[in-house]
Order: sequence, then structure tokens, then C-alpha cells
Amino acid sequence: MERNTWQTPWSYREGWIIVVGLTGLGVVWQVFLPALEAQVPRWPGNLILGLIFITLLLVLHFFFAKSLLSKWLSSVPAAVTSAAFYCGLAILMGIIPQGQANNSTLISLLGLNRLTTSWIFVLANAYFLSSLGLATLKRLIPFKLKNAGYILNHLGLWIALTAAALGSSDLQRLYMNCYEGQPEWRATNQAGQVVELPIAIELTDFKIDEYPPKLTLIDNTTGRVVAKGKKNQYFSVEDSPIQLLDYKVEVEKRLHSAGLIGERFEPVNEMGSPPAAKVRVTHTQTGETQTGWVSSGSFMHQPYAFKLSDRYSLVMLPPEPQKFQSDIRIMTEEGQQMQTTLEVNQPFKLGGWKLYQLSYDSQKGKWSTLSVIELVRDPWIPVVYLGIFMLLAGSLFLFRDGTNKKKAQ
Amino acid sequence: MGWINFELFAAVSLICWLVSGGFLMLKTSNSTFKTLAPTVLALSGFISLMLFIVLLWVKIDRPPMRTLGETRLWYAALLASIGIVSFIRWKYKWLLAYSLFMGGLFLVINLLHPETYDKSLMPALQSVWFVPHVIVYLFAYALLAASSLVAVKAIYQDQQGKNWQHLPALADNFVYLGFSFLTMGLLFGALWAKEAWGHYWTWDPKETWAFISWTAYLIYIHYRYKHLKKHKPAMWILIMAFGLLLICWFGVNYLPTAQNSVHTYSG
Repeated sequence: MERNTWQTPWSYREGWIIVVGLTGLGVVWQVFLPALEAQVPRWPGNLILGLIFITLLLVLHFFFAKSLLSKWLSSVPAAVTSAAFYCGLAILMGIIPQGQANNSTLISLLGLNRLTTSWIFVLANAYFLSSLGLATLKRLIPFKLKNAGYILNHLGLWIALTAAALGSSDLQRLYMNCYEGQPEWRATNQAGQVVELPIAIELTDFKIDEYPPKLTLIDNTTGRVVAKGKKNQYFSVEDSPIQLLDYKVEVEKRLHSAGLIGERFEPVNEMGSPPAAKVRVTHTQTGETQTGWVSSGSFMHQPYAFKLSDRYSLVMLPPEPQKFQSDIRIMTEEGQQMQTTLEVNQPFKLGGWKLYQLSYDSQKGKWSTLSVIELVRDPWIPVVYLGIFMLLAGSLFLFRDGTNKKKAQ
Repeated sequence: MGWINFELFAAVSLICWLVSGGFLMLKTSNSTFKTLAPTVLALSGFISLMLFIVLLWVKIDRPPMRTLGETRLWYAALLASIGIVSFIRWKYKWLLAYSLFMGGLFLVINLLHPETYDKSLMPALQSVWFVPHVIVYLFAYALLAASSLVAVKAIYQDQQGKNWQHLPALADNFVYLGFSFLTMGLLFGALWAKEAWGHYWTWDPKETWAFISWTAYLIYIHYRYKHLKKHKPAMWILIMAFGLLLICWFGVNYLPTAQNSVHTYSG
């Protein structure tokens, strides 16, 4: 006999109705109570919130295990519908650009352009984490070793997501503009406010290693790279001799830092002196050979192109950074001093902070005297990492379970 | 100095795979023609492609995993390897045939869109995490593609009125393996992001779509766990999940959200 809606045990139908209900609630909340922002309180509020949540789950598990709510939340239909709810919101997030104003009033009103801080997202999170939490507790207590894989995966995910959500309000990301030789202690937060720090950072030296510049052909009328979409549209000067369309290009002389004197380049060692190369170009069909100079230019000097014909010119592209790093001196209020080098992918740990090499004055390139350093403080990260490593261990169990299943069949 | 001739290596792979596919179609009881020849040929094609990847790696002096075209090379090779392993293990002819066909298709795409193998690698990508993150992901993509091939086959056979009840179990094998690689790829990415960009999760469009495809397979696994007998909806979930995965891999580049993503590939 067909089961009526809301007749126990609940299944997918009820699950979807709950999702629709939560969406409706989220929309109403978002639209009519915009003053009540969906924001997790800061420390220790987030800890208290987390403890209340855990207590609720434990009470449901120990004292109301047979209740409809408890049974429902720990069921697979609840897991599937809550995961689908989450997935659906993420799809919206993946289509609608986030964190910027949107022309559509509907999208702005519902908060779909800033979904992670909307009420719908909070409710989806709460539904998903309640379901996941109760399902985990069911297998966690009483503990059985054969459930290890299940527990690592489910508890790991619950810990990582819960800690990430609660910790989001304690996350601080600051940006500091450091100029060579000028100690700096003020940074800007993501809201654009200036924050004074108990440490000062002085940039002693900013360095960039660059890849060798590349050569390419451009169309004289459009200024665009020709042979676009075809193979080998540009070559590193290191790979000489090279073939660009019908031209064979040989680099005769390469200067890392050059200045234009008349119609030729000479080595100079001044700020803003761009790289240059003397090239011999042979037309492979006519055999005609010409020699000339190319230079990428810099923030101080114009690029220098080599006009090969009415149609094409050979140009040098500005060198791309291979590595950039900042030598910095850090001074604390207590008068302690330390020196370190920051590099992309190699942050520096200092107290509860992590210092990252973020960017520099890209206009000036290797002559930049500015280095932008990011300072990040995320006190919840050990908890999130605990969850992540549990999940990683759990994924190995998944491996084994997949293989076992195969054997069982 | 010229580049390594991709056309040559790709041609060797394509011919090997084509002939291997031809042997798979043969109706014969001779085990040399039935099993050995297609395996050896498929393997030769795989080796030729891997050789190209290794030579390219040496030549450009960075892992060839930066552009979409470079990821297609890995994908073609890994998909073929999955086809070969499952052929040796379970003797599924059609799966080997399909995975060689898909791998070949990806090689043809690369032949039609030849690209510049650029030596430069932006500083953020210069990390010990780069290789494990990408390899694990592409392996997951290849396994999950194999699972969706199984699902398509199941639905096709269902429409033909043929028996396909053994297929979902095979799909499960691929999904379990693929999902554990997918999870690792996602988490390696998070750990790397913390070192490179200061935060482990920023809802970057690629991250968002990776999360979407991860939850889609999560739903499949839970659905199968509860309803092991309801095969048909499960196969449809699998096909939809793969659709989302494809958006994550290719589609993200074309979405309005992707303009500021660190994951948009050139190529």
C-alpha cells in the first residue's frame, strides 16, 4: 500500500519537502529580516554555539534515539536530500558571481550573490551537519573497530565543516604594503579598515627571478599575436633558432639589461633597463635575411619591435616572473628582531599568524620596491586539519571497501 | 631547437588503440587474438603516450599539467590504463574498447588544437602539491568516466530489453576508487591552498564546482548503500554526476563566475 506523506518512516518525499521548507524559511528571513545578518559570533560565541550544537546532537542521540527527529536525521534519505540541498546551493554559487553587486534585484534581495553569508546557506549547513552528526553518533557510540572507516569519513567531514563554519568569524586576513627600507605596522583588513599590529615589518630587499623573455610575431595593423591558435606562437629566446610562420629567427646577442643608443642596444645597468636581443631573421621561402633589435620595454622604456615586412613585426614579450621573494625584518613590541625570506608557497609562521608573499608592483616588475604581504590568523585551523586528515585516512578505507565489495560479489 | 613531435607519438598510440579495438570486435575463440593482442596493443599505445609525456616533462622542465591540453594527455593515458587493467582483471571487452575510444578522442582533440608548450610556470604553481593534486584528480576523473560509461551502457541495454543487472556492481567499483581519489585531490588542493594563498577554502569557482561534483558522487554512494536493488535511478544519478564533473573540468572556464579563478587554464 502506498505510504501517505508524513507517515513514518519518512523518506525522500518528506526530505524534499523539508528542503523546500528550509529554502522558504531562508528566503523569508533574508528578505524580511535583513538586519538579522547570518553571521557566526566571534570567539567565544562561536565556541558556545558549537557546544550547544554538540549537546543537542548528544541529547537527541542518547535520550531521544527512538524519536522521529533522531531517526529521520540519521537516515539515508535525510543524508541524500541535505547533500543535494547543499549541492544545489553550490551550483547557484558556481553560476552567479559571488561577492559583487548584481544587476538583478531578485538575486541581490535573496542574497544569491553572497550565498555563504545568506540564511538559506546557514539553514542548509545546519540541516546537513545535523544529519551528518547524528549518523556519525549512531556508529560512533558504542564504538566498534569495524566502523573505523565510516567514522573517519563521517566524523572527519563533520569536524572539518563545523570548525570551518564556526571559525570563519575568527579568521583574519590582512594585507600590508611594505616599501623597501620603511618599517610598517599598519595593515588593511578585507573590509578595507586599517588595523595596527603589535609587530612591524621592514622590507630589506625584494627580488624577482624572471624567465627568459619570449619572441613572437605580431600583425602590424591589429597589433595582435599572429598564428594564434596554431602551434608555437611564441618561443623563449633561449630556444634559438626558432621558426615563426615563414621566418627562421636566430638570436645573435642577448642583453639582460639594455639601453637604446641610436638604432642599437648596449648593456646598461640602470633602473628600468629592459632586456633586448639582436636577431637575424631569414625568410625560409625567399632566403632573404635581415638583422635587427627587439626589446620588451619596461615601465620606463618603450618596447622596440623589429619590422619584418608590411604585415609582420617581431616583438619581445615582457619576461614573466619565475620566482619572487622578499627579505624582511620583523620587529616585535618587546624589541625582538628576526629576519626571514618570504616566497610564494613558503609562508612564515609567527605566533598565531602566518605571513605570505602576496604580490608586488607588477608595473615596475623586478624594480618594484613594494611587496604586499598577507597576514593570516586562523585559530581554528588545527581543528579543521584534524577533520581533513581524518577524511584522508578515511578515503583509504573507501579504497579497501570498494575492493571488498567487488570480492563479495 | 624543435619541439618533440607530438603527432608521431599520438599517431602510434591511435593506431595501436585502433587495431586493439579491431581485435576486440573479432568474433574468435583464439585466445591470442581475443585477449593477448588487444592487451599488448592497448598497452603499447599507452606506453607511447606516457613516453611523450615524460619527454615533454623533461623538455619543458616543469610538470606538463598546467594547460587544458596537457591535462587531456594525462586523461587519455590514465583512461586507457583503467581500460587495460579492467580488461585484464574482468575481461570486459567493451569497457576497454570505450576507454580506448575516449582516450583516442582526447588525443584527436589535442591534434586538432596543437598548443605551445610554454616553459613558464607561475610561482603559485611551483609547489610540492602540484603533481600529487593534479595526478590524483585526473586519475579520479578517468575512473569516474569509466563508471559513467558503465552507466550509459546499463541504460542502453535496459532500453534494448537486455539484462544489465551485473553492471551497477562494476560501476560501484569505479565510483568507490574514483571517489576516494576525488576526495584526496580535493583535500590536497585545500592543504596546498593554505600554503599558497593563505586559506584552505575560498569558494573559488573551481573549488565550488569541485565541491558540487564531490557531493554528487556522495549522493550516488549513499543512494546505492540504501537502495542496492534500485539500479535505474542510481545509473541516472551517476550520469548526472559526471555531467557536473565535466563542468568542473572544462566548463568552469566559460562560466561568468570564472574570471578571477586561479584555476582557469590557458590552452
